[in-house]
Amino acid sequence: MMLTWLILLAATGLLLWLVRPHRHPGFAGMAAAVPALATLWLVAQIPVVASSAGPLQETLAWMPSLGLELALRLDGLSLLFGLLITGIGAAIAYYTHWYLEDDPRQGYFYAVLFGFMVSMLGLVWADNLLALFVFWEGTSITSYLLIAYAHDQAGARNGARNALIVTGAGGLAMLAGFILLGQEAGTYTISQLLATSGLADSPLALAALLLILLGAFTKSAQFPFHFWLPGAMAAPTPASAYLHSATMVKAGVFLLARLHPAFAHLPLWFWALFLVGGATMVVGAVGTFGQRDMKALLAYATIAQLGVLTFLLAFSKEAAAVALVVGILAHALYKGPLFLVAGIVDHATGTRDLRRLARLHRDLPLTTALALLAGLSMAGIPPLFGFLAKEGLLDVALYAPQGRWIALGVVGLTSALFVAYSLTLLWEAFLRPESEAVEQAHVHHPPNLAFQAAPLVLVLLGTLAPFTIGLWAPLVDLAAGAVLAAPVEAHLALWRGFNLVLWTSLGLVGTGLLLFLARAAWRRLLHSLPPWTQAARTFERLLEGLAWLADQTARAVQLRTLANQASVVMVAALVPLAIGLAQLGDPWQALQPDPAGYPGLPWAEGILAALAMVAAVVTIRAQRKLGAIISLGVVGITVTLFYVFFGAPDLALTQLLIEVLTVVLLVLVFYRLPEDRRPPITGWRRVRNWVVAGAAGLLGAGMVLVNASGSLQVDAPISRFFLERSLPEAFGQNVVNVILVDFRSFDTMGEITVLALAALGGYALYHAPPVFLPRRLRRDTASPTVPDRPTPEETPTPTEARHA
Amino acid sequence: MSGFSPNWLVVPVALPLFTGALLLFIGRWGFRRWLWLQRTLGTVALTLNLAVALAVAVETIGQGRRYVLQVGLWDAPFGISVVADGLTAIMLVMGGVVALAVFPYAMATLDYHRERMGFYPLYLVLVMGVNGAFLAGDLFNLYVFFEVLLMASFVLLTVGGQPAQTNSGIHYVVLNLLASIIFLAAAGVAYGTLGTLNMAQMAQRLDMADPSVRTLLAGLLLVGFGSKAALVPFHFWLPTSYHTPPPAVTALFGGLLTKVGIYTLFRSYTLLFPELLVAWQPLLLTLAGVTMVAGALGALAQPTIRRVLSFHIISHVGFMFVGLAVAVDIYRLAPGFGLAAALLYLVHHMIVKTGLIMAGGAVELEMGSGRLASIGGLAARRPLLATLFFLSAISLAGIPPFSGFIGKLSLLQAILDAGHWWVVAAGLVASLLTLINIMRLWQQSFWGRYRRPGRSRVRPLEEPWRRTRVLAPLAGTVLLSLALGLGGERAFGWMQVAAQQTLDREGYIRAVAPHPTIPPLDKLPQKE
Repeated sequence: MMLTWLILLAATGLLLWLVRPHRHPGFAGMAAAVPALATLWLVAQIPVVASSAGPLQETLAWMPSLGLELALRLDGLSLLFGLLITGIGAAIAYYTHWYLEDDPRQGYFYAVLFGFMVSMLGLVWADNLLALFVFWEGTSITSYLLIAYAHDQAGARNGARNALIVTGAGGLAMLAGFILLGQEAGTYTISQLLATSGLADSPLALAALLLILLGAFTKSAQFPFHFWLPGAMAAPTPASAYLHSATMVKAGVFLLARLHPAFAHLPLWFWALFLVGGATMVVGAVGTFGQRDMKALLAYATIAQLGVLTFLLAFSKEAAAVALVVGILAHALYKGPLFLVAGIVDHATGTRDLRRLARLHRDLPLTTALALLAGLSMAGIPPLFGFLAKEGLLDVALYAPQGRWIALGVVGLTSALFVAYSLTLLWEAFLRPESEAVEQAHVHHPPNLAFQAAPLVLVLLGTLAPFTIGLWAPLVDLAAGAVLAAPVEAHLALWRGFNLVLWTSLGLVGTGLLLFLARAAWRRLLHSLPPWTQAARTFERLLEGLAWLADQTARAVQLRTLANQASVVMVAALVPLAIGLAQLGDPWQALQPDPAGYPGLPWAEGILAALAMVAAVVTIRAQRKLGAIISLGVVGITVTLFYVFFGAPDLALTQLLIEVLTVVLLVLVFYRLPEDRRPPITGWRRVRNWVVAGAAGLLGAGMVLVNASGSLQVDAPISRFFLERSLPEAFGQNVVNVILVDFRSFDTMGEITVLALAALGGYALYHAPPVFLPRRLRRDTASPTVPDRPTPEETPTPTEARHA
Repeated sequence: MSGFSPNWLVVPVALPLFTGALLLFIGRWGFRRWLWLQRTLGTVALTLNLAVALAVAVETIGQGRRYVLQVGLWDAPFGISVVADGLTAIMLVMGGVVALAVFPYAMATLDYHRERMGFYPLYLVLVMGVNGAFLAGDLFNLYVFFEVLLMASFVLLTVGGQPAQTNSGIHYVVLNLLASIIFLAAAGVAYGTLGTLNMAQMAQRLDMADPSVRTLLAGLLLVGFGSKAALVPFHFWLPTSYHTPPPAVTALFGGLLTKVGIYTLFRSYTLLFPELLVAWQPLLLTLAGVTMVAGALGALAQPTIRRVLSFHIISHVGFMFVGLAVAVDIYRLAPGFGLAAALLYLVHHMIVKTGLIMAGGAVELEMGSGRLASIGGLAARRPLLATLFFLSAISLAGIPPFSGFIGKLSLLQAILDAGHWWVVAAGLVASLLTLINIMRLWQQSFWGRYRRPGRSRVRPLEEPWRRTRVLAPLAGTVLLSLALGLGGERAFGWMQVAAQQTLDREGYIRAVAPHPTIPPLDKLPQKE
């Protein structure tokens, strides 16, 4: 059934793409109905999962030999996330149509959105580490496409790029961690893996854990990777509300919750989550004050909340697990609507800038009411849902087993800041009187009820939740139980008497109120921070550094000139010879030629060799081309004579013909070429040339010695066969000819082809069309293109050229 | 036996060669009205070629056999042996797929002048050279086919005669000839010391040879084949030449050429020097790691679409090579897992890289320039091309459910199983850089404001007949990649059969059955 839902949702998305939903409002409702039905199905599963039957399981083999299986498992935790994904997904699907109105790319947006929904559901339902990774990447890619929906804006493209690079890098680290973990445990099935005892104690598992933490932290925008989330706000608001607040950014938190039973007892786990979560909380909460854009403010608030969730996962107490679940639920039900409200405001007034907004409560009464309920819930004001969540958090911090004072300080500060920025948002956008200082935005496109229906439903759910705890408490028990791998019975209540937690909570609300009143000072302080404290800027610098490094690498590995490149290959070929010679105990002895084949050095051959060498030197040093060609001919002919001495007159004849032809052709060609006027080669190039020439000579000499050596010969060469069988079996007197046309005729066919190809190439070059390109364009023109006059854009800044 | 005779092994060589020769004569190098015949015959020949390759694959991988053809009935090692096993079959099939996919694309994107100058005959002869290299069971025969494919690719590279093309052609041919000379030197040493060039017999005799001979031979072949495969630091010819010819040629080269080098490295090291896979492992791993990272990093600095894509080939060569380095170094996984993973990656790479270069080439022709800084906004105008490009690109970056993911996953599992941490780190860094690279390509070409800086002679997406010939092969590569990604289990099973066959050198030697000594005259089986 789980698989069916995944397929059904994917098909819905693709179908929506085809039916052009921007023309037909009815389709949005139908689209929303599918995830809504999935939500109902999931609700119906709560008693099933809670019953003794246990979690639902489904498996589809994919690549068992790699351990990759589409195993799905519905336990408390995946149920909780599944409900969020489908429930909020339904609301978002309905809202999107009204937000995008008659944008013709609405169908595309829907397709990617549903693609995301499927990936995210798969992620939380997966019972196989590798399948989880598959869906994880699916969320990254769909998120990338959604952020850059308005891709003609540079901000959207850069936001999408940063998000993909950061989460992609984390994902790769995580994949390595998963493989390590899987190989260590012998299985990639998560439920089995968590049940493996002592898994966390091996050093490999520790390395795996570190890599996986990297993946979770990048995905959930933990400090110092948090900067991609505000950048992702370039996405259309429904995507921001859904991916970058309610669901996708919680994937990291989900993964941590999933692995909690196996690793939570490690000090590494505790301190990593405790510190990173704490830092993220503070950075996110403080960062809200630097923002004037409603969505950016909400993004920093989301970072803070993600820090809270990570922080809660550091502990392995029942209270922490319950607080985590309540925190996730409450956050989804207040932050989602707040984003949607921001979208409505943007839609109605054309801006989300807090400086230009005021008194929206007069023109948008319903929207303002929704914003107030959701915003006060975010602030944690009783009796709203956020209050419950904050109580849980304070409870954990007050009774933390380790690092209690740090925990208290961090949580206290963050909670007070939650109050302060919630009030800032509500006051500045909706309630405050108009000021004359800035041009005020006006509502010129009031939303209809359908547009506000999605946030309305979510806010109603959130507001009613604290009064209907009994209804959803089983879900909390199940989810928290899955986090701890132990049965949990939560005792949630709005009113728990006048205890330490309540007093602290009230005190923090008061502090928050004071911070709200002093917000102007906060803003000045934040704006006076040096630029390097902005992680996004630092990341930009990093990318520029990477581009520089790439440039240097490309230059370094390409070596610029053909001579350099050839030198590397030539010298590299000498290395095995040198090592091989070193392996011979006594090279001089081993390389003695076989006396049978080489009876010493007769004087005639010596003279020939000397002649060849002299001619070679003359060729190189010749001033004029004709001289070089003639001496080259001399080298060739002396080599030819060796064939004569070794009893191969026919080969000598052939070789002689070739040499003569070469000389004639060279003379003909060079006669038509202009005289070479390049300056003589000097300096290090000269040295290099000597080295390379020496290497080539040594290589050649080495080959000859190895080949001639008697002691290195393993077995008799097969050439005797050819001598014996040429006449009786191949009926040819001339062995060389028989080899060419019979024994190894297959080779000859190939060689003939080579010659034909060369002729064809020569013909084609000869008939090449004349070229009329101006010289400066010759450098890098893709051949079939004829550029117009270069436009000004053709000279890009270096960064633009490499990134963006 | 299902009626499959080793004689079929001649077809992948003979069919393209003779078709190519025939095409040369059709219409005396092509009047315009004869081009259709060249195109049709070429397509038919390439389809038959793929069919035969598939038959070879069914026979070798399906049956777990090897097929050996002793050309001219001269027994090994005296004649030339043509050998097909699983590895050969995979290479033949993939080569056939690439050749068949790029052929219609070439029809749609080439200008008349190039078509007229014997493009199609050259194309077929290149395919012949590649097939011959995959089938060669004799070191010198391998050299001959290397020459064929070198010369064919050189002419394909320079045909059309733009100055940039000619210039890069010189780089290409000089560096490749140098590599060929080194390879030839190795063949010379092999004959001088081992007295044979038949690879099966070489394997036998190498066991008795002095270690220095093995070092020398293995090292020279590493330099020679490594150059063909574009391993860093022998990769120089690739980035200087691949972007200059028409996109169809780049796509064909990108799909085929370096893979021949990789194949020969796999073949020679598993058959001739298996013990060096262990002894030289640090060296091989270093080469692979450096190649992976340098290729991806260098690609990031390239200014045009095809330069990025071709530089990136180097990085993927590193990925394939690493599979060889851990071919025998597996602890908990199935034997041959590393090599099978490398083969899976190779198959994926051949499909996707070809498709992506075709897509990138289409963008280039559409925009009149491949310069990333000056183009943009194509997604709205060409949604289908954009979709196909995007899917190919994420497949290349290893995003599931496409083939790149299972390729990467299996390789990472193999390396981690062998415990080489830093190679995994290099692989992950290279993967991330790949992601950044393809994202850069995508964002610059398809997103943003529409900018079309130039015009080209051919706009393949304007005319319907060209559009089908460009988009259909592209869609084919994307679907193949998806199928490979989803049906990875079966494919990986085939790769494992091929890998185990490749590592079983005794079986290879038995199949070729070289005469250990020269048989006396009367003992020879009589030729009929």
